[in-house]
Amino acid sequence: MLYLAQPWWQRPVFAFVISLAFAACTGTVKPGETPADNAPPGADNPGAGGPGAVVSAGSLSAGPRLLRRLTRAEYDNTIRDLLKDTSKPARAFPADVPDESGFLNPATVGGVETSRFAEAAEASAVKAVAKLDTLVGCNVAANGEQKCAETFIAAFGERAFRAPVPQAQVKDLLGLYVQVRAAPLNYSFSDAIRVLVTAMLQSPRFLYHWESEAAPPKPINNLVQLGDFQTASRLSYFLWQSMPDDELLANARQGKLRTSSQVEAQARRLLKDPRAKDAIFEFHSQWLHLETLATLDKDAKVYPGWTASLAQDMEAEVRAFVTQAVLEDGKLETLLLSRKSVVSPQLAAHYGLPAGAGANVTLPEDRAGLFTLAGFLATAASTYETSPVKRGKLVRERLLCERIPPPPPSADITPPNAAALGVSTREAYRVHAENPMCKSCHEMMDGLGFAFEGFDGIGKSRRTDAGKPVDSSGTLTGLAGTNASYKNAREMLEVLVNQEETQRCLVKQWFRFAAGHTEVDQDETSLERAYQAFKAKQWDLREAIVSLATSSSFRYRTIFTGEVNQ
Amino acid sequence: MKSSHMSRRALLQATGLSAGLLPLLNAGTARAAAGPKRLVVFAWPNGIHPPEFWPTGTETDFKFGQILSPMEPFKKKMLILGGLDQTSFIGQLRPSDNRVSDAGWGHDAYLTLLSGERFSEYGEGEAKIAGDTIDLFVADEIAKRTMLPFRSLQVGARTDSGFQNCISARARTEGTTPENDPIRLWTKLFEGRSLPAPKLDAMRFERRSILDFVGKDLEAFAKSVSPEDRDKVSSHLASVRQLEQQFAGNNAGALCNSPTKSAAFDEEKNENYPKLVRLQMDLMVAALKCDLTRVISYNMTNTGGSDVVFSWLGSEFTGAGDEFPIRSHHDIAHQQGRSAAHLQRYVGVNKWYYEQFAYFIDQLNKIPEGDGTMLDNTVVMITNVSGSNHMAVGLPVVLVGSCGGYFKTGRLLKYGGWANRAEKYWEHAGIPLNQLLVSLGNAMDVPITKFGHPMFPSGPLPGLKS
Repeated sequence: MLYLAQPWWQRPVFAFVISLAFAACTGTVKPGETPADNAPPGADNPGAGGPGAVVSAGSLSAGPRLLRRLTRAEYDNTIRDLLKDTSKPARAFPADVPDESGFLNPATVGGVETSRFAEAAEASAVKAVAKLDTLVGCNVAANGEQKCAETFIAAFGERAFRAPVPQAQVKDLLGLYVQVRAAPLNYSFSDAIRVLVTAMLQSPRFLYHWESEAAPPKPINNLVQLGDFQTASRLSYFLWQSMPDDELLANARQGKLRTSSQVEAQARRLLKDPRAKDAIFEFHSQWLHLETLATLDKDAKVYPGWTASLAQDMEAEVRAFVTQAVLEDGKLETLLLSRKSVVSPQLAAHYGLPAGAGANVTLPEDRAGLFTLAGFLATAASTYETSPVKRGKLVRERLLCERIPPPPPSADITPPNAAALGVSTREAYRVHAENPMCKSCHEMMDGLGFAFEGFDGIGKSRRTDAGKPVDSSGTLTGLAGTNASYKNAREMLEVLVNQEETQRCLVKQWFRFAAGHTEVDQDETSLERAYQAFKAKQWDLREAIVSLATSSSFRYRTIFTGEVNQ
Repeated sequence: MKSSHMSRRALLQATGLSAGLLPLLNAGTARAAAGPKRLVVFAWPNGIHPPEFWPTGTETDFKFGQILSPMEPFKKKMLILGGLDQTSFIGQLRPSDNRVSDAGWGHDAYLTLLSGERFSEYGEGEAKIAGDTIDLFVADEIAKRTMLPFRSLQVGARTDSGFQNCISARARTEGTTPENDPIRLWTKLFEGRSLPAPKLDAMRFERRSILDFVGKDLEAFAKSVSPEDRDKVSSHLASVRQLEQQFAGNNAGALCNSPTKSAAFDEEKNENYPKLVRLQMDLMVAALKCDLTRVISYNMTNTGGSDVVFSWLGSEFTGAGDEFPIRSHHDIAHQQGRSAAHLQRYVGVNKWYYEQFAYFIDQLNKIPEGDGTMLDNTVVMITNVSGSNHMAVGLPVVLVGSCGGYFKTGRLLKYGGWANRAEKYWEHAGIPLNQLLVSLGNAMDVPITKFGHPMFPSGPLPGLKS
């Protein structure tokens, strides 16, 4: 390119600005120092205590905390738990898009988002005041309206904001109450409460993960422990994708979320609660990009059996499967190899199971865990055939945590239509192996993807493709200590489940989901600790999750530039 | 309508403006007889086929190819500008994979189009732009002298959030999500005419009071976040203040007839795309006509995920039964080189877009204003975000309307190394488009001499003025 020959264009100064800013304000606490305000030494140190802890190193470290807005799922779950309103108003918001970590990160708020927040808040508040007594929970006759409004601001506000309402906002909310009760509006008590709810639901303290403490931080070596309310929120959004419940808030109020063991006890409690299913599903959905499954379109000429209701059943199956595998059993092996699933009658037929098989089934022998569920296979496919590239890319990037560079911008990346060419899908992709331009990257994906050729573009088992027996065999490349050959997806996954790359990657992906960003150097300690906990408990994912929840990356943050001097 | 008689004092109180600003409020209406100046930007993705886009001939006597043919009636009101590049996009390092952007990365070159800026952050699948885009910048300047219900509108057809899908952006953000829903756009623009005055007044007062609280809360909140995150909160705060302003004015549709509210339909559905585009254009024309806003950007679908299938153009656009069963806009662009038939589909898609633009231009041109039409007081910048296919250079930039006589229209102008050639003048790398952004600002009476990254030449683009 002409421009690249000119020296100025090669100066990559701009893109570095942000990473430098982070590097300048990150910190690590050396062994022997206690960054906690009041915790007993040892108990607070996640490296030293807790059943899941194996690492003996006593150093704490954590990266910076980035401001994140609630995703649409988090918003809807919060509205559900805050107002007993299951209408999912955030479905009208612009869709959240994944960031570089591959997990969703809601966009910066502009005009459209602001209007949608207002609209959703108004609708939710109208419904909420329909049950005014339950909502306000204050005897108006005995206490008077004004007093009840004050109580409401404090009590509802603490739940909506997941932290006590700061004094300034209490004053402003009360001012708002007084304003709308007076002329020209002359609102009733009920309407004024509706206005307060509408306002609080548009507050940044409701819309964002608010993780800055009210009190000025007292950092040690640039590291500060999150406050109790912030820890409560982190836990509940990580493990429930929703707001803290009364018990978590009570613990926060009493300062009982300071030590590793206190946090661990709560994390284990949260994982046993039905709300954990929301988080487990959300993780797997974002991890493997299954967000579009329920509304997936397929070419009706190629897949006449594809219906919206079948797609929804597939999504329900994924939810049931990951709940069973991760929350009830916990083992990585179960997630990646188990054939035990929960299906609807039409989905049972889709899998070729006999009629009357019931809901709890053992899938046919060619299936092996999440990556062979119809929902995954249909999403990771084109509208008219399978997609070895998509499937292989998901295995390489999301299961093994390796990066594959994007295709050259001018490459024609339209998938070939094997059926029209009269060849098998695998043959249609031969150019990827022959053209050296394609090969360097595609050899990282296509082979892994071909392993799933025994399943068509909507996840049905198939023996033949273009009239010839399906070839789903291959050899693993680019992995430590193995170049195993396999005949099909099951055999491939049986090898991958025992690979260290896979085990470490799962920990990393859960970290990214929990933290809302890609790991930085300061997170290595927490990642290693979670990996060791995972390993020590025979690859029980719940142990990795609990370890991350109690890790220093999760409970501490580096202070930001200029914070201490404020 | 009661609200239209709101006293100036009440208006000032409602908007929180001080009395000192009073004389400025109506400054913009001095031009009312001639009509206000307006800036509209239309963008669509996946590039054009240069030989069928670029006119042949001389500066004042030129011939259109297939793509521009729907614009024939407006030739005298157009400026076609050859040789403009998204230079600010090129040569930026993406630290995550250590690659440097080149002109071929057209999918990432949306935010640089109207900003002429570099990215402040860049990664795979994410980027933030260092400066405001020209439309938002001009809208801010207009707001300093004229109170309008909407500072600017960002409209999109089947677009998502994020840097590959937005053409308008605030500094250090990944873009301003456009409004995709035509029903909500109608509500936003014209709701005021559908409610009885007392109810409308109460609703507006309530919303203002609430947004006032939200704004103050955001200001306090901004102090508790890290410097890196403050831009996010500022963008949020700015949009809350603008929404508040929207409920402060009294003029939503008060001075002209609002269009009928369309019945609800699925705006995401492929078959509805032509209907969606037409409806959104009608609403934009109405918003400009009623002077609800003077700045609009319209993004006609996502850059990378442009999955529109042009089934209404014929069965060859869906490709039933042949080598490629589905032909999205993006597929068509990538497949253009395979055969004459593939290329013709690519040309056909771009011609279809120009039929839509011609419809919009025609609407503006039918509305008398001063001695001419509304189009004459407007500049509509129409461009693909790419030149050929995915290249962020050789942009097919067209300006329509003279913006109150600022531009000398009816001309084909060529910039860059091959500007003096009659043939294939578009093939040589051109000049940074930053000067065009300066010209757009100046045309809108914003006296800037530079726009975008300071590295680029200052001054307006030479040769455009009357």
